Amino acid sequence: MSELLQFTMNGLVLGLLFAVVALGFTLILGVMQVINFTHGVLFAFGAYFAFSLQRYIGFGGALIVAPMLVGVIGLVLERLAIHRTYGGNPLFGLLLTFGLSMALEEVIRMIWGKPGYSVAAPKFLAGSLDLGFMLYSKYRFFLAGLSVLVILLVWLFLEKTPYGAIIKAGASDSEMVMALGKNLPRMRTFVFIIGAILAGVAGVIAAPIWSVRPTMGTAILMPAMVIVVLGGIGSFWGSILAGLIVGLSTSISVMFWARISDIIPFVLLAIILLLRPRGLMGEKSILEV
Amino acid sequence: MGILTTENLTKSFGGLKAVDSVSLDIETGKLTSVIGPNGAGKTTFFNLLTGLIKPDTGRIRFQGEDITNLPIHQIVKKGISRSFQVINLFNELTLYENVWLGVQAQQGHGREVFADAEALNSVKEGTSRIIAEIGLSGKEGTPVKLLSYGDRRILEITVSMTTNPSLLLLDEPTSGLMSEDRRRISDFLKKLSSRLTLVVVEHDMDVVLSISDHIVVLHQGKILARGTPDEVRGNDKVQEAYLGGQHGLT
Amino acid sequence: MGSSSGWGKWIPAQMAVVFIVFALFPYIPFIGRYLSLGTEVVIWSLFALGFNILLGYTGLPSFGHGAFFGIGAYGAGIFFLHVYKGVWLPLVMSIVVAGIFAALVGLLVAKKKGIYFALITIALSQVFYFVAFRWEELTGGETGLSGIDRMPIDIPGLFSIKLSTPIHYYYFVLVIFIICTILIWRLAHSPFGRVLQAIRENEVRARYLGYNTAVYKWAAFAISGVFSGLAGGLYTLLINSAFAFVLDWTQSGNVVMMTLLGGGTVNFFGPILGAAIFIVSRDLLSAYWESWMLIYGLIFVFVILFIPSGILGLVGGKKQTILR
Repeated sequence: MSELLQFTMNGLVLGLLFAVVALGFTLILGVMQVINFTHGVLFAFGAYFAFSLQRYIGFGGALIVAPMLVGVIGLVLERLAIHRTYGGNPLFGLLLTFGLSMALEEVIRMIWGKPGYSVAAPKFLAGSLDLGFMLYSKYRFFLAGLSVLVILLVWLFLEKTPYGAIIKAGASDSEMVMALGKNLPRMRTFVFIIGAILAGVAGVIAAPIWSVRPTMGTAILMPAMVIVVLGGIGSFWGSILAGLIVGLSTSISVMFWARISDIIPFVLLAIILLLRPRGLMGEKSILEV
Repeated sequence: MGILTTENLTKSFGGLKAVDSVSLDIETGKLTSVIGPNGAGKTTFFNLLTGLIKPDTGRIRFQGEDITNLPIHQIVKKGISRSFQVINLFNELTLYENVWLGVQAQQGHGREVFADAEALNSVKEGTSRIIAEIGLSGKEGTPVKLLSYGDRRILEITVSMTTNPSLLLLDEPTSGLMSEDRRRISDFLKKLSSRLTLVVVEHDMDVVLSISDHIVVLHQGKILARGTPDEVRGNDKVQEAYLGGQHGLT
Repeated sequence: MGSSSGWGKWIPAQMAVVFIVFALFPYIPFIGRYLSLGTEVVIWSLFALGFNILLGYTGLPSFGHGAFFGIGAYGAGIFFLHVYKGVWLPLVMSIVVAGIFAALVGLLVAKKKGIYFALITIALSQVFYFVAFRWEELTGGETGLSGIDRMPIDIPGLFSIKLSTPIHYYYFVLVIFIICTILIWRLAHSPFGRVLQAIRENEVRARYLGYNTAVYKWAAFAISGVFSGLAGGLYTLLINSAFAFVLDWTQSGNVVMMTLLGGGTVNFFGPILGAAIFIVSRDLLSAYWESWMLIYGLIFVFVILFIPSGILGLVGGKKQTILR
């Protein structure tokens, strides 16, 4: 029983991490209709920056600085290359970000080398918390809590601030945004940076429990894509919900039949697509006929 | 009963009833115009009739048969066709290729996987004939996006007709045209109406009054009035809707 | 072009040139020795040509066709190792198995387009990758399958062709390529092929002409999947093994890239040119620089930003409308 509880809580923690990554991905997808393949490698950069910065400014410092750096990378990518693909054949944006992700993954290898690293959780978060009925890792609690905080912040921004409202409007009607006199390209760059920062934050907090190596970006991008389609493209709560579902099912299936745990998300996806072609909470959008 | 009837056709988007309980009977062989201010639901109505969107409630019957939930391609095969308010052609392809695709479809090729498309003589003849009929011979090789707007409007209607419909729905066929081109299309429509049943959405009242056998006035998704041109012209409610609204009788 | 009678209708001039160049390849000084590489080029050309039915002609951006390549590869390998050690049957299996899966996946994606279509093809193709990785009994897991030999072709009473000899296998693959290219050409220039292009140009209008576009899209998906599978089977025989990497999404990205690079969106032969350039440069790059992935990725970026119509698009001048 306590084993099931353990796996369930791990699943929730994983799910929340997935949700943060998926959220950034779906924002970019919803607002600019770009499948951002670099999202995985940005996540990796977050972890690697945390690894390098930790010894100088500690984990807390890295938690602030690393996502900022990833945001800068995102800014550079968007301004130099990615923005040129908006509005065109979606394949181009996909291939462009695919090429960028390959190149950037190689850059990671060139800077930090091929082998993996481990990032230690900060000392005050090491060890377990005694919940009475079980012991659970303090760090995972922290991870979960921080993820929830980040998700909440994004939600507040989108729902409660005027600029957030513009971004939501821009996702469905870019002409209206221009008509309102707002700078559309700048808004899109901003959204991309937010997405990048989300990936970076996720990378930092994942680093202590995820093995930090050059291919870690790919490892998170696949589930992220499945989650985004499962939850419904462009849907905020869809990403969260789907993230949790995928995290939970992946974790719990390890208990029963470890071999298929990788495949569970896809099976779920295929089933959901048959029953609800737009995903769990997706709305009919211009993205499909 | 006419060629097309709708019973309580309703469609909402969000909270807005774009088409509200429209029950209509289109008389066979006549030209019916659908008029009304912008946002009155005219294009949505056409979308519903041709299967592009599904109604929330209501039925559509074509020649007695219920076509309410059929997909577009099946409705087209039964004999309804439609032209678009915003020109909806194969813009990158040439004039010839646009008509050709319609003729190929109508003649039922499409499943042929190994035949040479270039060698379909009946399609080639049909295409050349149609292009000659609409007076655009000589422009076959021009990509549609480079044709003049007037030519594109004619082509828009022509391609819709390649499916050999018995009912043709035309959504603002003279939109954006100068008066000479308007007359050209207007005459074209009058000729057409002797061969098929036409339903035309229009804003240009001169055109409407000169070509229509019947007029239906839509306002906020509902039928406000219907009848012959004279009856509608004299209708108080219609005057009010037009004078009170943003879109006057041009 | 096109409707001349007789041979011209089946094998236009450009196609004959391609065939002749490929046929003479082994005899070209210096580069003719690299038969394995040449065979790879022919295999990927086949893959890319079939894929272009979906991408260039129908306009559907599948980013998951590497899965069908891999399914064909494994299909041939598994059949060879566990059922029958032959040449033809494993290849037939690669076609059949890939075709069935492509038909099934096609059902899920036929009504989609654009990004949605691309995303779902990525996601679904990953299933097969993980299955190959995890289902060790069947696929050998991480180590994959090996020992898939090229059996000789025996024509009883006449002769036996040893396909294990590289040059024999090269011509074997080339003959299959020639047959498939002719088939794909006919398909692309048939009334069916015209409908696919209509769907690419304006799907709604195509529906309003009376075409059930979902069925056509499904058919294009399945057909291209079949050719992908055949290419995969031929590849397995080339390297005598099958590894999970054949199902990797980079394969999917590669085939899209080479199709675009060569100019598949404007020219029937674009994919062949793209495959040749892509495979050869990748081989050269990886031999000379350990961090070749950097250049590889940047090439993608360069092509997308500066020559999106591909090389034949540059050379051909104005964008051709209906693909020739």
